[in-house]
Amino acid sequence: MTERPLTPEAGEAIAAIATPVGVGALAIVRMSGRGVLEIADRVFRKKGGTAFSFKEAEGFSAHFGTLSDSRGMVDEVIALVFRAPSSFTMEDMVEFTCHGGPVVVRHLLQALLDSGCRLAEPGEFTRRAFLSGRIDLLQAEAIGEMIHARTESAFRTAVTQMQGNLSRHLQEMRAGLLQSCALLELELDFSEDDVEFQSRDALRLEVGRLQGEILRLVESYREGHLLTEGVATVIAGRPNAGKSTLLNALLGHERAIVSHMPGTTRDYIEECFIHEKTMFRLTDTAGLRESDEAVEHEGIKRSYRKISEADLMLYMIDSSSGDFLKEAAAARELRQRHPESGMIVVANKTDLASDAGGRIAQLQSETACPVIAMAASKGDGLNELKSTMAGMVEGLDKLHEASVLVTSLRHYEALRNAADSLDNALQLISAREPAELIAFELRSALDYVGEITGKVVSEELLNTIFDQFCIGK
Amino acid sequence: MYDIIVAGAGHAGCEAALAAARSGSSCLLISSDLTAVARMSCNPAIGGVAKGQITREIDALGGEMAKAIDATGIQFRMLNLSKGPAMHSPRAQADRTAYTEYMKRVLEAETNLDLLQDTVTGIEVRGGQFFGVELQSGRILRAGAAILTCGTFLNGLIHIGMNHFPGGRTIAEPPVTGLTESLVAAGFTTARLKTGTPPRVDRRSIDYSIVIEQKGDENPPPFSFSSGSIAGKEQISCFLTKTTHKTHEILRTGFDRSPLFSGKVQGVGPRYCPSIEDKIHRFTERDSHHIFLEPEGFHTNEMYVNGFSTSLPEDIQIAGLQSIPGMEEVKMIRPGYAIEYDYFHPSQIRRSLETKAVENLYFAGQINGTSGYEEAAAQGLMAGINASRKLKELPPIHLQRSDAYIGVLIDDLVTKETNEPYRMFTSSAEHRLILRHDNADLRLRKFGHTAGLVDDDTYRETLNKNDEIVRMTAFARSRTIPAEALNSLLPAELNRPMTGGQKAASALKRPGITLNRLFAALPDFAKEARLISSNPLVHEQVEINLAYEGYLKRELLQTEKVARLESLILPETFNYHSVTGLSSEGREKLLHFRPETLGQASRIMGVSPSDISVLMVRLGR
Repeated sequence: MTERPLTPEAGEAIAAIATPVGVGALAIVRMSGRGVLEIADRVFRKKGGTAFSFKEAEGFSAHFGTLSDSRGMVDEVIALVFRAPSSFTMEDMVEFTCHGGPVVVRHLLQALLDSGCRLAEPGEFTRRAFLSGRIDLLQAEAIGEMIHARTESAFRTAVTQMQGNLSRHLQEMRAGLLQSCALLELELDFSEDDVEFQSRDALRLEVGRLQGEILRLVESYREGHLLTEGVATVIAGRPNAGKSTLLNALLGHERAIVSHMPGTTRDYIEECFIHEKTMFRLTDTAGLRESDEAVEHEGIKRSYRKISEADLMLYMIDSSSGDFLKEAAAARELRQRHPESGMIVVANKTDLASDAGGRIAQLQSETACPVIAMAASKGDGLNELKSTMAGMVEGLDKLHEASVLVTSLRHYEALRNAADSLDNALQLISAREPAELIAFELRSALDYVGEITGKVVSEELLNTIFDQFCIGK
Repeated sequence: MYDIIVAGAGHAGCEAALAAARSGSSCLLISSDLTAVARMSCNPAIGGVAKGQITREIDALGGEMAKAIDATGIQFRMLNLSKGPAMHSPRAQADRTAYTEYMKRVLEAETNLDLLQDTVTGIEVRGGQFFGVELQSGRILRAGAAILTCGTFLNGLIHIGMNHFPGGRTIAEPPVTGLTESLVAAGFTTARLKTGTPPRVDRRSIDYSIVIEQKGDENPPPFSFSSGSIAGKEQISCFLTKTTHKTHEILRTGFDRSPLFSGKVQGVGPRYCPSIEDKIHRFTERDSHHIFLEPEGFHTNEMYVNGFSTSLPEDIQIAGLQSIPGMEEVKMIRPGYAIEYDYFHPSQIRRSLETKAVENLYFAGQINGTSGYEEAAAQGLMAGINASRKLKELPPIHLQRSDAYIGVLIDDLVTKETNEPYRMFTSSAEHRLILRHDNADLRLRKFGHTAGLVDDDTYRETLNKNDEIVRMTAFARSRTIPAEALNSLLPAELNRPMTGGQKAASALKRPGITLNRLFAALPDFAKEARLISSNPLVHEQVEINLAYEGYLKRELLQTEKVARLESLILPETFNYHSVTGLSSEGREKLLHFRPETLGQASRIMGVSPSDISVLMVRLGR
C-alpha cells in the first residue's frame, strides 16, 4: 500500500477555559486548531523582550511572558505549546496558565476570542480528540464524565473506567456470548457434520450466567449514575411550607459550583451541594396544589415530572399548620406513586407548632418515612437532615476503585436491551423453540453489547467454530 | 462482434452466458472443452445449508441451476428439517454426466448464444476499457464486454504426494497460462488459493453389508419454482462409514510426503473443507471421521468418497481407504489431489461484479476467490445480468443483504478480507429468517423480471401468489376459531384448555396448528379460505409469516436501520486523505476496498463506527 503521510486537516481555532471557574491559584485557558500559533503570537510577548514566535516553537515547550488585549496587559502567563499531531486533539494547541480568578480568566479568554478564536462548544476539545482517532468512544465518554465529575468518588469511577475496567468486563462477556452463539451456529450451518452439539441444558446455564452478569452491570447503573450525576433530589410540598428556605439553607456556604459562563463545558443548571463525598442535585419545585391558572398548572406538571425522575424526595410539611395530617396523606400518596425514590419528610416550623413532638410522631406513623424536625429559617435540624439524606444513599462512598460500574445512560440502555434479548433466548430455550430463533436473540444481545465494545462480525463466529470443531466432510 | 464474451463454461460461465443472452445481448461462450460444461469437478451435489437457498434464488432470478438439478438429480433431501423453515435447505446428489449434458443442451438451444472451443489466454484493454480477448490460436476477438469465469484453471498446479504437475481441473485438463499475466499487466493483483478433492472408487468394490444406507426423501419438493413435481423420480442411495484408528495411523505414515505439511502448497485452503490429513493432524483427540460414499450417477460405477479429500501419495490413499470398514477390498479409480490456482482478491471488483481497473470486464466464480458451484453460478448470473445492462446503459441490479443470500455473498466479497476460498454460511446472513428457500420467488422474481430473465406470465404468477398470501393473512386475522375447535386441535398435555375463541392468525402461531388442520375441523372456514387460495404454497407462506411474525418484524426493522447507510454513495474517487478524523487503520482499509456505499464501508473490518460518523459528516449526513 502506498499511502501518503497523514496530514489531518485541522479544524478552525477554538478556545475555552479548561479549569473550573472560581478563585484558585492558577487557571488554564487553551486553544486548538488552525492558526492558533499565529493567534498566540498576536497576544503574547515573551519576557525580556526577546524576539519569539510560536510558529518556531517546539512541541512541549513552555514560555514565560505577558498576555495583552487591545487595552493592555491582562496577566503574566506561561504558554505551553503542543505541535500537531502530538496533542490531545492532534491539532496545534497552546495552553496559557494564568493566575486564577474569574475576571483575569475571562479577560484572557476574551483576548483570544478577539484575536481570531471561536469559543469552543461544550466538549468540543474531546470531540476533536475522538474524531481525530486520538481516543475511542468509550474513552471519550469517560473523559466527559471525568470533566463533569464533581465528587471524589465519581472521579475515581471515571478513571477506573478509562483504565478499561468496564471494557475488559464487557469483552469477557462478549467472548462468552460469542461462544454460545458459535455453538448454535454450528448446529445450524453444520448440522450434517460429524460434531457433537451442545445440550440445551448447558446452553441455558451459560445464557443464564451471562444474563446474570449483564443484569449486575445494569443494576450498578443505579449507583453509577448517582456517583457521576449526583443524587437527584427534589423538594416538594405545599406553597409556603418553606421549600425555598430549605433550599438556601442546604446550599448555604457549601454552594459548591456556580457557573454562568456561557460556552464552557460547565453550564450547571441545577444547584448542587456535596455532603460526605456525595453530591446532591437539588431542585425546588412549584408548590403542589390544584390550580386553575394555566401558568401555574404548567409549573405543577413540571414538578410532577421532576418528582418522577428523582432519586430522593424531601417532602416539606408545615407542622404548625392545622391540616398537617392532610399533607401527611399527600406525602404518603406521592411516596406510593414513586416507590423507587426515597422520601424524607421534613416537618418544618416546629418552633411555631404546639406539641411538636406529638405531631412528629403522628407524621411518622402516617407516612412511614423518616421525619426530620426542623426550623429552616433558624437552621435547626439542618445537620440531621443532611446526615439522613446521606444515609438514604448509604454505600455510595464505599464503592472502591476495583468495582465495575456502569455510569453512562447509553451503556445502561445497551446492556438493558442485551439482558432483555437474553431473557427472550432463555424463554425460547425452555419452550424448545428452534435454534435459529435462539440464535437470533443471542445475536441481538451481541449487537447491543457491540454498541459499547464495537461491532461483531460473522467472521468471528465462523473463526470460533473452525478453531474448535472438525468441520467439513 | 458479440456484445459479451464469457470465458469459461463452468457453473459461473454457463449462468453468465445464459443470463447475458436471455437479457438480449449477443453472447459467445468460450471453453477449452465444450464436452465438459457445468462440470462438477468435486462433490456431485447441488444445494445444502445456505447453498440450497442460493440455488432457489438463482431460479427465482431466472437462472438455470435449479432446473438442471431437478432434471438430473439422483437423490434429494431436505436438510435441517428438525429446525425452523428458515433453516430448511434442499440438497441433491447429481448424475454428473447427465448434469453436463443437460446444461449443454440448454446452452445450445439458446438463440442469442454461440459456443466456441478455444482458450482465452489474454485480454486487450484500450483506454481503461475492455477491448477484446486473445485466444490460444492468437486470434483477437472483440466484444462490448467480457466475463471471466476461469475456475481453478489459472496457472493450475495439481499436487499428489510430492509430485506436482500443471492441471486446470483434473490431471487430464491443461491449465490456462498467460491470462493471469495479462490481467496483472492490466493492473490487477493476484494471489494463490488451494482446494482439494477426494479419491473416486468403484462402487462394486464396497461391502454393502457393513456401510449404512442413506436414502433420499420420499416426495421431495423441486428446486425450481417452475419445475413440475419431482416426487416420483427414481432415486439411489448414499452410504455412510467412518475412518478408524488404523486409517489414521496409515495416513500419518504419509505425512512426510504430504505437499500440505511439507510446505509445497503455497495457496490457502478452506478451513470448512479440510483434507483428511488436516483433520487428523489438527483434531488428534478424534479417532474417527465420517465418510460418505456418494454415487456419481445412474450409469457409472464411480463413487465419490466424501470426507476423504487428500493430497497424500497414491499408495497411502489406497492403504488408507482399505482400512475403512466396508472398503477393505475397495478399488480406487482416481486419486484425490490438491490444486492451487490464481485468483484476484474481490476488493478489485464492484458489487456489479465489474472490475474497478478495467471497464466492461467482469469476474465471476473462483476467480473471485469463492468456492462452491452455487456461489459461482450466482455470481455468473449477476455478472451476466449486469454486463448486459451496462451495454444497454441501464443501471446495474444490486441485491442487498436483506434481499438474498446472493446479496450477502457479493457484499461479503467486496467488503471482507478473507483469504481462504469463500463459502456461504447462513450465519453470514443477518436476515436469515427472511432469506428462506421457500420465499425466494417472492423476494426475487421482480429482479429477474427487471433483468428480462423472468417472463411476464411467470412474474404475474408470483404477483398473484403474493396477493393471495396477503388476502389469506388478512382473512386469518379476521376470523375467530371457537374454543372447542382449538381444544380439539391442541395436544392436551401441552396446553391448558382454551376458554375463549381466538383469531385464526393467533391460533396459527401455536405449535402443531396449520391451516389444513383448521380446514379439517371447520368446514365453513375452509370453504371461505379456499375461495381466496387453494394453493398449498400460499398456505405455507401464511403459516410461516404468522409463526415468525415478531421476528420478521424485528429483522425488517434492522433492515430499515441500515438502509440509510446503504443509500449513501461514496464516489470511487473519494479523497480519503483529505478527511480529518479517520483512524489510520480505517483510512487504509477504505483506500484498499474503496466501498461504493457507506453501508459497505461500515462492514469493512478496521473501519470503526467513528470512521463512519466522520464520513457521514463529510458526506453532509
